[in-house]
Amino acid sequence: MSEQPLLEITDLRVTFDLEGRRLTAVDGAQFSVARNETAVLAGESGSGKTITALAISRLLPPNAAISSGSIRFNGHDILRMSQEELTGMRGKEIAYIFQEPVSFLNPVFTIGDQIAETIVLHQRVAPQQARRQAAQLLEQVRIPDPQRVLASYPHQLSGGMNQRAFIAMSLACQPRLLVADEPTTSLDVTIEREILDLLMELKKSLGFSLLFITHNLAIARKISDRVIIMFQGKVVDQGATDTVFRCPRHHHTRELIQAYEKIGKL
Amino acid sequence: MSTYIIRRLLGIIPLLFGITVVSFFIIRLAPGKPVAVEQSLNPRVSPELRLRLEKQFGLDKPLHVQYLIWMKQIVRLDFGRSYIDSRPVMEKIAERIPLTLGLNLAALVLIFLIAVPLGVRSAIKADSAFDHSVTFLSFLFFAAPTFWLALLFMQFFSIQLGWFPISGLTSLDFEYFSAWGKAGDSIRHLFLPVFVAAIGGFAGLTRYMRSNMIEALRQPYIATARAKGLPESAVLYSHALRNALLPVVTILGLSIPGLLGGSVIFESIFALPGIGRLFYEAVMTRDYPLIMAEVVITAVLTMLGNLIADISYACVDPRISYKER
Repeated sequence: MSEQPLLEITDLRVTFDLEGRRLTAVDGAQFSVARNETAVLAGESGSGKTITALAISRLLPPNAAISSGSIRFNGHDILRMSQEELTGMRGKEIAYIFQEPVSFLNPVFTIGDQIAETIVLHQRVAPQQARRQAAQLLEQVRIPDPQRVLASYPHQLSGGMNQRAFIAMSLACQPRLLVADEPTTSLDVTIEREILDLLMELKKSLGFSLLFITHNLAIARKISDRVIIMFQGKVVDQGATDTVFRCPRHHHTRELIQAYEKIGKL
Repeated sequence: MSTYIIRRLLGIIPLLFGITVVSFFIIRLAPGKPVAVEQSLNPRVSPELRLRLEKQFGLDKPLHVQYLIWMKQIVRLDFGRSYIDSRPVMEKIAERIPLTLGLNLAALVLIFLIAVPLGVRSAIKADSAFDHSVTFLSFLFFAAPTFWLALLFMQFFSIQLGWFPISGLTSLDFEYFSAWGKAGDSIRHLFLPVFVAAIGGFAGLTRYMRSNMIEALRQPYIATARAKGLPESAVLYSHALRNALLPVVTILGLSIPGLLGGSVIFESIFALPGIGRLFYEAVMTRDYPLIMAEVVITAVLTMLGNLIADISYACVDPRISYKER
């Protein structure tokens, strides 16, 4: 019996309106993410990965629109949700982490405020209770001095610390799906490794599905159960990680893999 | 922080010295002398009397000596007496302060009350009909000269509609009013001046607020706020507005000297006895002590305003601190 996937994207098309000119950023993307699976959405810059990721929670910029297709999440049609249903789902069922944690955190609020805000929003607990939960979450993401970090502003912490805090904030309400958009690209290689290890460990202990977006095939191969390769707005290749890397179907996938093999990174 | 403030306060001293030197010499190098006015008013003033007056004011001494004498008074906070009526300069200024300060303060409050919500709304609805009409009105009021607007409003509100008095500070029968009646009368007289004063300022601040808010809404943390599941109102008014308001704090600090500045044109049109007209008359009669007192007050207020702006910025923006490293 085949289980229904957690996220199912069918024929997704996203177009941008650039002062009268229409530009198709995502062109008929089709893929799914199963429960507890790690799927990697890979491709070069501008291939439509981030726009696809944002479309999942309808977080597209105002000049972009989903022109056709469907997004089903946990049995619900996201494109038919009301604004209240959407905000109720964002952060609670589907959470995000982004590329540069420092600029994606609000500079004028403390880390503690920003984590507690999410908790109060979705769990309707008292602020003090949310604060205690935030401290526990920071311990969970291996932040050595949670009380200090709670009271800190983003600019007072390192990139790695901010990303850990961001992960804590995103996982605060135990989402079913975590969408990670190049979460390690702006970090040092050693920190990148730590963050990846942390994510995989948390995934194992908390049991969420991970949609990881990267341009880095080495990371894709290392962490994923399945890879989805995007090229010029289209999904050109997808399947179990081993299969795709052993016998890529699309010439672009082959080119990418060869490029990585040439520099000895795979 | 306190060492920073002390350092900044000490920095005011050389700056103030420079400002007073320049303005002291410029105003004395300008054509015309204080005694010339008395002469022209009275043709029988003899050259001897003129010389005696110059001697009395110390104007016969070399310029640098005059400056040093003035400086010696200033460090004792003695701004001297007016050449015109021999009253202490500070007394003359002090009696004009309530009106100018009250008028400018009311205008400033009005400006912020109108401009902040209008600019924010404009930014949220960027490129809508609302935004375009606010932009149009802002530019219109920004470009329109105050004196022209003042005359238009007087014509419409005071003469045609008769809602407000045309000018002045009190009615002719002011003395016979009760305390409440007096207050009401003053407010009615000040309504148009405050309104006109606010119009020029509101336009600029609305544009400024709009661009701040648009800038804040473009920041990545706004995407985060939405991804968290916050309702749009919290995204806009908590996450974006908080950041968009930061630069406005600077504007508040910088408008401190303007509160006591007064405007010549404005006060003349509405026949208000404010600081602007006092300063104007002082310049026209070459009343040196009064001019220099005004210059010193404005310079000190400007520098204090800058300092207050910097300090308050550090209070509201956690990224800025003046701690010694």
